[in-house]
Amino acid sequence: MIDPNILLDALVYSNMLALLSLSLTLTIMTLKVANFAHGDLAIIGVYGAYTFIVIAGLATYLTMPLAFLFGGIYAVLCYLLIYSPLRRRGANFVMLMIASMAIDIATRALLQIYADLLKFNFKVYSRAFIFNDFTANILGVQVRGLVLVSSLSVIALLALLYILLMKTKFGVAMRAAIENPALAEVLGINVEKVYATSWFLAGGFAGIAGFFLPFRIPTSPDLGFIILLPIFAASILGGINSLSGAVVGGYIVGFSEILGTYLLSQPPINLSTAYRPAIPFTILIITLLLLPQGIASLWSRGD
Amino acid sequence: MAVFDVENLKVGYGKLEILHGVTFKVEKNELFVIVGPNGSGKSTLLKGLFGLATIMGGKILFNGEDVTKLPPHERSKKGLAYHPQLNNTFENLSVRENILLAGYFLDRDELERRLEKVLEFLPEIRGFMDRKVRTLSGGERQMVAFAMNMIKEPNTVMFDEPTAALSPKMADLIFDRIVKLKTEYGLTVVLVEQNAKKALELGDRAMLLVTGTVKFLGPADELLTHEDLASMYLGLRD
Ligand SMILES: Nc1ncnc2c1ncn2[C@@H]1O[C@H](COP(=O)(O)OP(=O)(O)OP(=O)(O)O)[C@@H](O)[C@H]1O
Ligand SMILES: [Mg+2]
Repeated sequence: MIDPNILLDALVYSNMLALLSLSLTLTIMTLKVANFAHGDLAIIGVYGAYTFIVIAGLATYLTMPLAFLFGGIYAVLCYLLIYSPLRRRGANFVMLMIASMAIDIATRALLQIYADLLKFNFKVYSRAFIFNDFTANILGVQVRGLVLVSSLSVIALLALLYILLMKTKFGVAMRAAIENPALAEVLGINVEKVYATSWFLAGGFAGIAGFFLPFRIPTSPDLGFIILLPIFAASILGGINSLSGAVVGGYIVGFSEILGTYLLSQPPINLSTAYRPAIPFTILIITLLLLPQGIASLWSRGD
Repeated sequence: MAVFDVENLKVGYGKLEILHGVTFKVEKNELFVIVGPNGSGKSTLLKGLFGLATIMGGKILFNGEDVTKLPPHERSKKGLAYHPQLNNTFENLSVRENILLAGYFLDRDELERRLEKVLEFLPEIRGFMDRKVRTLSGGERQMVAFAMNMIKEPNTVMFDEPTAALSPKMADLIFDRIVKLKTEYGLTVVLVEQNAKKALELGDRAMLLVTGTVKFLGPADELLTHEDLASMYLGLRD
């Protein structure tokens, strides 16, 4: 029997991963760029929230919307100042990808500088910081607040995104601009505005995911790069161009990574947990061999 | 005043010039047919008229107004509609959503009112309003693209091969509606067609484009029965 705490930890990790792969997929669908700076958006979000916790003394969970805002604004700035001008000048997929690597390096450097500023000016921990959680008593069972908050957040954000995309006029325009920007332009839709909005949402979702990080692991400026690989794995697993696929991919990668590592480290195998990163990739390779179009091809074929 | 008064128009892509100075007029409420071999520049001309290809010289007056430098959505506001040869609908959206997008700037009531009118004009669409476009046949898709243009209540519509790859029956239906635009709704129609015989029979005046230059400009039936041109470029003979 697996320890229920391991299952709950897998759920929390997967919630986070699902938000990140979903938002990464949204940016890939708009700009057709493999954004290597996507993990950094999460860290921008959490540093924004952390700043208000340590300086303004806000209660931890109250700063969650700030994480959304910081991630979102930083993503829009990246889009408007770098990706969009490059795109208009005819940059191709590879050029945009290299630009995103540069943004990743620059963002992490900025975060390092910012961490130093926080430390020297406010005398607070600014690296390897953690958030304290509360525990809720649900029907006699002690549950970490993060389990509830992250799960509810994912449900709420997915519902909002679904309503926006499927039930509003702007959402129809968003889907149209993603599918065929040239035709959308002909119809008079401001594709630039639609894309910038998508990037804001994507950055916001990443920021929320980032906010959950310090509850699980010590958080530092470079963490965005470290979490990048499972995010890409989840997005590719989902079929790269499917939002629902990215969410399911996030849960598959998240659960297999946590549970796999746990089971392999138990007797009789007793494997070192250093193998942890290999698990999502093994799953990714197997899935792609079986379903080259990603798992979303299971439910979105033809219809 | 002519609807289109095009003078020495040069259109291309980037630095590549495709149309080498084209001059013609389209009169109000006429069906103006453009024919020519594959690659002669028919689609490029329509793209130029709508602002989607690079204008390298010349002038376009639309209803007396110089639109040479206007972007597509500005031309669209002036009542010009364009029915592209390819990719003229959003595959992953439903028919209703496609039409809604075409009327993006209308308020709800106005959109409803126009949608009713469009559905009267193209009643076939009622049968597949809520299906995704990618599940439709070629002819059904052309009707959706047609409806997307009609929702804007344009005064001039340019069609780029709306009957390509359709069954003769479906093509006749589309031709029938195009003619109705002119006769019943008083619109001006520019029609690029691969099916030269049919188009020239329906059209008022015609233009023959060959490798980016005008080879014929005049009454449509004259081109249809022209001894050399019809057989040389259009594969027509009596
Ligand atoms: N986007 C583009 N970039 C560069 N060249 C293009 C582009 N589109 C078309 N061309 C070239 O312009 C020329 C004219 O093409 P166009 O599509 O206007 O021909 P057409 O008369 O419409 O042909 P068809 O009957 O096959 O539709 C062709 O040589 C084509 O290769
Ligand atoms: Mg063409």
